[in-house]
Amino acid sequence: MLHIFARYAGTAVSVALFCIALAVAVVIAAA
Amino acid sequence: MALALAPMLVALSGGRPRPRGLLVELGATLGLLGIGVLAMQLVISGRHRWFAGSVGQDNLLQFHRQTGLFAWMLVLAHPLSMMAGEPAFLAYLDPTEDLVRAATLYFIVIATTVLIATSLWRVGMGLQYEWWRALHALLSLLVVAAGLGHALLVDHYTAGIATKAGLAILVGMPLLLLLETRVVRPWRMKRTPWEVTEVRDVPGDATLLRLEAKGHDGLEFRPGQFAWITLGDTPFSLQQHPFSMASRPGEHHRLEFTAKHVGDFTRSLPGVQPGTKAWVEGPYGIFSIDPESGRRMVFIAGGIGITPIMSMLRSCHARGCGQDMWLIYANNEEADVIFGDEIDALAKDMPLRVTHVLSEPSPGWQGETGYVDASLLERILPADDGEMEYFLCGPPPMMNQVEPALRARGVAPGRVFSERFNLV
Repeated sequence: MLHIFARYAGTAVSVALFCIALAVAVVIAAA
Repeated sequence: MALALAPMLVALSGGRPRPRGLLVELGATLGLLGIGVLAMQLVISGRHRWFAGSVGQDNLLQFHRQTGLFAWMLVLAHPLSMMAGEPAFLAYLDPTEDLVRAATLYFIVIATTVLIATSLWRVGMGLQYEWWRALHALLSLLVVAAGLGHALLVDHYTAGIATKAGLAILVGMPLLLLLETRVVRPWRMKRTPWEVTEVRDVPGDATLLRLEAKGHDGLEFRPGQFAWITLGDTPFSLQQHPFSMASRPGEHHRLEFTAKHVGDFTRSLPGVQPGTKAWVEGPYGIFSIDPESGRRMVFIAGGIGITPIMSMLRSCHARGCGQDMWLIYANNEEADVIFGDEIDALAKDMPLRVTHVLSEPSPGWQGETGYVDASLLERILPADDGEMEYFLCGPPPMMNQVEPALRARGVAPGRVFSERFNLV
């Protein structure tokens, strides 16, 4: 059943990482 | 995630340069994230036990595929965003401005695209597995090294010497790990050679391979695990393939594998001569049983997926397991059934109920037909008692059908253990 998690884990982590990079860029640009 | 974010954190923890527009800053953070995600690929794909832990190599490689695609998107998005925010960055692409810098950027974009394209469409491109593997390792190494060089030379967020050193260490460690995987590990394997003692065709268009340890104690493994096998005089060969052990763990110095003829390497297996040297890296995998748990067990295998389950059944038999067990074994035709006689013998010797399911049965077939689905599970298995464990190994269509069917029967996800074939 771990596969169901694994099937989407890479995509979920990628989206999360992109959101973090975007948030950091917004904070820096607004500073 | 920490590994992927680390270069960004190190770079941003240095000095505070003058803020630029949002698109430029986004381009910078995506670039720093890109090098982190690329470095992370070297760690997650390296079959490091300390890292794979309880996740499982097959899951980790699925993760590698998805995050690899994300890394490629970052490599493309980084310059696009920078240039969209500040057209002056277009000069980075001009070889007359700075040849090395421009060449590095072109190389990173093209090499990452080649990495992704050859991984997604290797078979369609006619690229042989061993050459793909060599290309993948070489380009990965060069892309990460070039990305690090680029980040260090940009001098915006990486101007400070401490930042440069931190970034070099963070990205340099995964590069060293890649060398460990491809050079140090095969070198260590030279001390534990194996020899092919038997090669035999088995039903289902597959080959059975037996190996014997030469001058060492062999391999300790748990039933259901797999190992990477290299055949030939040197462990440095590019031909290294993962196969599940069919033998039981007690026989450390003798290993048995069965492999279906699906690729160039497996199709060449029948021609392997006894006496050929072999090299075994492993064991790997979390698809395993505890024969002494006492819990009732259901095994569901499709085709060659019987291999790790055979190791589990043999292990249960050797340890005299007394709990009820069920084996549902799906094949196309009766002639595809591997280990048929041995499974019948095991069923006579221990509380194992065997059900063969054929999708293309001969006219005289009396058993189950079709595929392993919810109605078949309903007919064959008793109601789930809240403790039974389920072990699944087969082709993706079978797994995709059985996993939801088990959930619908009220089986908790934590009691379903599965392994898929599409590892590489």
